[in-house]
Amino acid sequence: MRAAQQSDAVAYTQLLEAIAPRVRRVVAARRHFAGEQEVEDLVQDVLLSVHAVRATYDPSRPFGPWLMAIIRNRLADGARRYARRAGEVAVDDLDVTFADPATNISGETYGDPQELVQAIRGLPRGQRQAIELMKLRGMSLKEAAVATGLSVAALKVATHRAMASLRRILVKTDDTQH
Amino acid sequence: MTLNTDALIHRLSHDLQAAPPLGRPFLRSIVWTTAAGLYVALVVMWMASPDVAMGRWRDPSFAIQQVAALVTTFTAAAAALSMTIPGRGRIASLVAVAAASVWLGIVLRGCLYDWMAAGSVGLALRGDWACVAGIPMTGALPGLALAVMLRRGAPLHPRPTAALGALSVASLASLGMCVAQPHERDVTILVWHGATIAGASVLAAMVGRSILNWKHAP
Repeated sequence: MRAAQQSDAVAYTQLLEAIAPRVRRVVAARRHFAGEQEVEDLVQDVLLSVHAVRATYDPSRPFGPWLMAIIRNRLADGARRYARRAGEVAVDDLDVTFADPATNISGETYGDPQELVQAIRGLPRGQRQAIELMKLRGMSLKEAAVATGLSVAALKVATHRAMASLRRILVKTDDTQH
Repeated sequence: MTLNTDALIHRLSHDLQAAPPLGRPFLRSIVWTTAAGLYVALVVMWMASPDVAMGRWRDPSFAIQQVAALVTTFTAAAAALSMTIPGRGRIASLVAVAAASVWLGIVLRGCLYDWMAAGSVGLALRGDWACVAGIPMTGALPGLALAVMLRRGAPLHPRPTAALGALSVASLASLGMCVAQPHERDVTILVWHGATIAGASVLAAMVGRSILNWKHAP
């Protein structure tokens, strides 16, 4: 880790490859009811966390307790997320949300793909990147965050702004055509 | 998450940026307390004449109370910073709570002396809205600086960390208000300053998760 803090990528790869099985063992032992995919998600969450706070490691102290504190925290957060999701009730998608038909027609669909492409090209770089990665390539927020180096919150904001801008541009285009 | 763990390791290692170790919480707390203390001293000088402000320190009970507030400021900041280091922070937070208790005890002792000296008049409560407004206003800038320092660490315990940070900032601002303005009775400090410090800590704990969070977490 000391070498990784000095941007030694080879040492960092070796470290992450060495700790991944150990993290997997701890996660699997403490979440023995979790499925393979869920365990892997938690392992990746721990690795992302280690990466995010690698500057907090004090080279004069042992690495094990530092890593275990992160694992415990991510497991607790994972359990909290799980409990939150467990409280949610899944409902079928409803086609009609309001009684007034005008609120239910066309929704988010848009007729002319060419104009949509043009509108996306006209977006600021950050917003365009967020739309391309998450809406067109279907990446999750976490994956897009890793790919861009942006935070999840920043990506959410960029996506929200991009969608609002696209809606505004396309509605304007639509109005001028009619 | 659909990404393969090996691919994730490769991505994290690719274009790895240097991340020099953060300084020790104790040392960073010294740096922050010194800088924030100088800032609050400037605010005090702006609010009161230096002679009057310095003159208050000649009263030993006043000096002891303010030293206790300063120790609370330092220990709470050190505890908040320690809590952002994985595997550390428990002892430091206990020390901070002990320091805050000592400060509270000293103020309570002042209230008792006021009561013994003047009876119920010694505990007569007067409004102190200037300090209620002054503490958050004075603490805003040091608080922002401490929040930036805390965000460089690991958000392992966001609520207690934010509460300790707010305790530190509000204690320092309270010290500044005590030096800048005369407080005839300690009960005023106990109720108005105490309530403002407690309110700031509770509020910080409530918004702690928004300020200190894992940036990659869903």
